[in-house]
Amino acid sequence: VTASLTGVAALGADELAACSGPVEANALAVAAALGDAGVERSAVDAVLTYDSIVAPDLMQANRVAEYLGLAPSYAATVGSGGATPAAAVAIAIGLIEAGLARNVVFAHADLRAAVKREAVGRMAAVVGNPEFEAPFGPIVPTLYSFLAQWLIESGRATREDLARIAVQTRAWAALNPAAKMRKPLTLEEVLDAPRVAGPLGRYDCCLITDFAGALVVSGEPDVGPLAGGQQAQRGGSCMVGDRAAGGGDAGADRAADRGRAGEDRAARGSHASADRVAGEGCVGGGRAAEGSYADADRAAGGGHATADRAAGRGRAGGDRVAGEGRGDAGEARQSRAVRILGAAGAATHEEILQMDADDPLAAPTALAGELYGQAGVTASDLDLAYLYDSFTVTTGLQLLAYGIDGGEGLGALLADPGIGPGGRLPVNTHGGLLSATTSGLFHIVEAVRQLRGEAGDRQVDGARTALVSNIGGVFSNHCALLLAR
Amino acid sequence: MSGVEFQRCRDCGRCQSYLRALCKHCGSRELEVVEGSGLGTVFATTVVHRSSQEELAASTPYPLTLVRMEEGPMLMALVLGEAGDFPAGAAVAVDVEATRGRGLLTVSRR
Repeated sequence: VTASLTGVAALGADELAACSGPVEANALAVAAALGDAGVERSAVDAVLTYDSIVAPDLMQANRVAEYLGLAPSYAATVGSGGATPAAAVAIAIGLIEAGLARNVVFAHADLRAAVKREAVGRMAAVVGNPEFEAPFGPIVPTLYSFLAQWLIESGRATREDLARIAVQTRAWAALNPAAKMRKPLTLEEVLDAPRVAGPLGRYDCCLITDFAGALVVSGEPDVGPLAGGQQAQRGGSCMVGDRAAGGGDAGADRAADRGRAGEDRAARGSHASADRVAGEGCVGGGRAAEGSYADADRAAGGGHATADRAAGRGRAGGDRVAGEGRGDAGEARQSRAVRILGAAGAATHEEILQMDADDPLAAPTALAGELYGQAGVTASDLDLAYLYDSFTVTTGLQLLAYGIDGGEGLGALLADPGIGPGGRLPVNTHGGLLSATTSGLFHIVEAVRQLRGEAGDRQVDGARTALVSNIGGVFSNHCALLLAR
Repeated sequence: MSGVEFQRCRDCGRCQSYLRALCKHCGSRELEVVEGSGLGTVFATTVVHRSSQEELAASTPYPLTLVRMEEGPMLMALVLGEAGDFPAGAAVAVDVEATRGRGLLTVSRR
């Protein structure tokens, strides 16, 4: 991936309260994110938004662009439920790598708190099949509670494990002034709270809040101008060429494409040696160099450099020196940009009745492998994880799918402080959907802020690699990003 | 006579629910409606504490289960008994009488 996250923004409560509606809130978030990125209005080629639930609009992205006086090439409203922010980043990467856009802005804003009941009702109606599910009275928590019950009965989690996710997430929220709920929770409070569905109680369910935020995805030339030759070496045009070649294999089905991609990724994931880079020519060289760039960052930071990584550091060091020598306005942006090392998605079903009941973890587990392969990392390389937490069980399932438990199980991982402050791996350091804000956009915003070192009291020292996941439906639409700095 | 109907594909032989214009497994349009055995196993059973259906709200908390039917598709159903009687993997059968009485698919242990 040759695109970076160059800007993020989240409106504060006062700003939100003064907004006339979701369009204005989106527009203000876009303006703030462009300011954060240092991207000129005229350089925005695509405006993406996620439609409001409380005030649906036929062409919301267009309306937001119009409000701002922007005239982008593309304005499109993306709708993948909770997966939308990460899906929008994946779309932005595509637009940028195809040469159709230089900078893409995505915003998500909604004013749901005032109309909580109706909004919840509408969301519940959307996720259940009208003939085979809705007549039985499920709401979204009911549908996820089937997965919670499955997780518990299959021996993968205990009720207490799930409750600890709420407690530890709240502990992070206590450090975030922008989080909605900051009062620490005890395990007993979570366990004794009124039940909503099956094992899930009130504190196992996400908040419904007002929110507005935005992010900017940029191609490398706008992050910091590179000389033409360097750009080619870093993989920009090579990757496009590679994809064109892949697509040109007439009749190749998707499975075959995935197989090829998997080989490429495996090569990158294994820290391809120098001969291999030489042997594979432009494409292999570009990709290997790109992969080792991230590895080198980590090696330098963590001090666990293997021989391969040390070699990578040498190459990346060269890149860095070249970059630092640019000495123009792009430099400041370059220094704050967060690189997108990988993006992967899995849209397996919509309604829970169509889910893979053999193994609900199969799709996200495969996705995790694909994502880690793209980025050349493993779960043990992560410094931060932002896992969509519509419910505690949503996070619990993903801690397993993404291998964050290291194969030891949730009980070992979540023993206090677990995924909270001071724990084995910081997860959802802003407080997530459970304690901070309703949109998964803020998982991305927080990851960027942490990687930049701008996370205040909750800053995780030396964090360089972050996983972000967003999920739509009932574990239906997974979209994940691997970010690094 | 389970009363449970699926669509079966004449080309690949697999079943699906809800009704579609083509087979979700292979894309064929050669579909027929068949009656299922009414037998299946529990994926998981939960308890509904807040119901979106007014008629059922008075019955909360009530157990609700997901059943993997023998033919492949999964179905949601009420249960005759307590949630604890319907653990994952439990063998169940559509209870035709109870289903008729409640107007909603209902299963009992077998």
